[in-house]
Amino acid sequence: MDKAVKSLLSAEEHRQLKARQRRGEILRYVSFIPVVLALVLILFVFLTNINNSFVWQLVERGGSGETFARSEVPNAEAAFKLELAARGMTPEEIEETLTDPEERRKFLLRNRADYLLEANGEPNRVVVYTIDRGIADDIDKQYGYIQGRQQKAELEAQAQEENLDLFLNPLLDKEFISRNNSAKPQMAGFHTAIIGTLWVISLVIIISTFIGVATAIYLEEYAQKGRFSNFLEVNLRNLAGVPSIVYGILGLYVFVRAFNMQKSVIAAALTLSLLILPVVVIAAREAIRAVPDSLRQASYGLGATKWQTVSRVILPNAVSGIVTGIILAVARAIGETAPLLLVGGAGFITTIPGGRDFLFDSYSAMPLQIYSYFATPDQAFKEIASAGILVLLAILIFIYLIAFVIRARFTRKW
Amino acid sequence: MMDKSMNKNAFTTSKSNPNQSLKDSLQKRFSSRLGENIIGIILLACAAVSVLTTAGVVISLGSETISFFADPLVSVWSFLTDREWTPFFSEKHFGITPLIVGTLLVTVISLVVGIPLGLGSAIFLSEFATDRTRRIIMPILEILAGIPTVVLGYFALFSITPILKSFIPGLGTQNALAAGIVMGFMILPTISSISVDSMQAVPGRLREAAYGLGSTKAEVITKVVLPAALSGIVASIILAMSRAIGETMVVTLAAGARPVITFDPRDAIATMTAFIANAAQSDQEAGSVGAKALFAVGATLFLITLLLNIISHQVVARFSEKYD
Repeated sequence: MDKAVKSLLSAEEHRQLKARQRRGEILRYVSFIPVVLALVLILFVFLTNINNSFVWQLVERGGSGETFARSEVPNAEAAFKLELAARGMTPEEIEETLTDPEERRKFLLRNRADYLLEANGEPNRVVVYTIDRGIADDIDKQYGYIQGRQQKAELEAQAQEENLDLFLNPLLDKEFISRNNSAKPQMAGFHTAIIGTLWVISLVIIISTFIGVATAIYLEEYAQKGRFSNFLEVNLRNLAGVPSIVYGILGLYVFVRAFNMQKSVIAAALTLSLLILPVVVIAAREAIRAVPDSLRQASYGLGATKWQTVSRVILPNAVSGIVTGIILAVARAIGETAPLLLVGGAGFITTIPGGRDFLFDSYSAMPLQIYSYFATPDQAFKEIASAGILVLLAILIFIYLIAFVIRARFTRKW
Repeated sequence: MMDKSMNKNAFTTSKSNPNQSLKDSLQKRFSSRLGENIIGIILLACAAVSVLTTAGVVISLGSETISFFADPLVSVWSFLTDREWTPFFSEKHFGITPLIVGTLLVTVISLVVGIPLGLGSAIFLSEFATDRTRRIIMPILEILAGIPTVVLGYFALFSITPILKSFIPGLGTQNALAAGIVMGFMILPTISSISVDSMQAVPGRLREAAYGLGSTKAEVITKVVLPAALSGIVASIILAMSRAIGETMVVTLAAGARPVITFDPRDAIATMTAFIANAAQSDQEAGSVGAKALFAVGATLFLITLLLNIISHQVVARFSEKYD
């Protein structure tokens, strides 16, 4: 503080001033705490799910009981050959099992190769799981990475004693996202859920973009300011605040029952489209409003009609804002679970929608699949849910990044 | 063919027959006018979808709720006053109070966590952060808002609850506390972003006047900026409350499905949304009174959140200070 100022203040006043300034500094740090906490929470969510996806498993396993070095088996096929040999088959028998279509189908149904970071103390192994013993649980114990690491000595001792295998299994691997779901944790995959989400969300993008952008154009460019447009605006604002589960009830009553769409891809897509419609409209309106009036007037001045102005002047200039808004809204739709519980997405399903009538097929979706893992009594599914969560989060982060890049790169300043 | 060639030689034809060319262009004008009108109608039809959505919500909730109350087992009076909610038991009770109390309990916990977090981060972002910091932190908060709720529900159940259990005795595996805390973080971005907007809208000259009178930064924030931005802050809190009441997955996973009247945050409870989610998965026959209960609870939830949203907008419309 200035000497001149200091001399004007008494010692008491000086102390008070110092205290007041200190309070300001304290407020700065206190107000930063929530930001830190939010960051910690996000990190914590990611780390726990990563930790849960690398599991130490004590497994009682059918099959030969052997594991193979990753370097020896370039692919699953090679692993199957080694495994069958280890089971005591002759090369001719192996050849027949893997080439005869019927035999092969049976074999693939009951066996699968899995990559392990560590198996019984050896790194980088491949194992072939067998479910010859029906679908009884063969995972004896399963721990997240850190917990398993801490108890590793005990786990090893137990494995020795009870003749079990101790695996460090990265649940989230290539097979996890390419395999259909199964009631057995070793075989469970996320493919059905990913494809289900892909179908539903593609339809959502088409429906909500068309209706949402059209509504925004109508409100911004066509509607006369008056009672009706006011009503539309209030209505949209209130719809934006309706809880997602109420949209689920709407979908259940209107699409599933009244329109008799049953528990189908199209019923889910329509429900989610209505859910994100207000968000899309609001974003599109903001983008359209940001286009300066001078451009509109120039277009009209050249004799363009209204639609020519909208389609050739306004939309091209508003497209980055509209696209960003749609992407963020769709990201929300991807994560929605509650409405899908009501319009009947299947938690457990082992086939994907397909064929000519795919719109009316039953489906699963990523968040729904994650929720249904929770409902399974088998504890091993808790960690599989974590692997699914990581897939979902990775997809969402990718989508957010795209939105941020578009917003930063392509937004025009007027 | 004839028309085309005339158009091609517009100059010569207009010379020979000026009226014909005018007629042509007017005709063109007319057909494009027709196209314009059709486009206008299509756009209007799309805008009407949102009205139909509202109508659909009202009809689906309303009709089933009316037939729910028409059932001899139920009356509006018992719905409001009965203290038990057991629609799927053999001895059925339809008192919504336990579900409302459960919802309120979780909502209050989430507000206790979420308001300080949301306001604190809003103060930091609006008053202390540089433009660069803000550009980094805002998207991160958006990501927090974008984490699917089923993921946060898992997180509350499997990560927060075990941590809380280590120092809170008697905490249930499913409990209102963990769900409320996680939901507090969930509503942080809602409170924060709206509050930041309204704090930034406070004009610089109010701040400068306060500095001119010798205020410190903390005094400017707490005595000038926050009071001036109060309407936006209150609106954001009401909106966040509505979000918390309507949130489903976190409470379904982490808070439980046990409709009892309790104010103990360590207990498992059931919220309205959790009941709806669970009822949708139970094998209730469509048309049974238990299945209709889902719609009655949905209608209650819809009315409460609608009311809060309207209040929130009224607060902004009526109490926001205008600076010109």
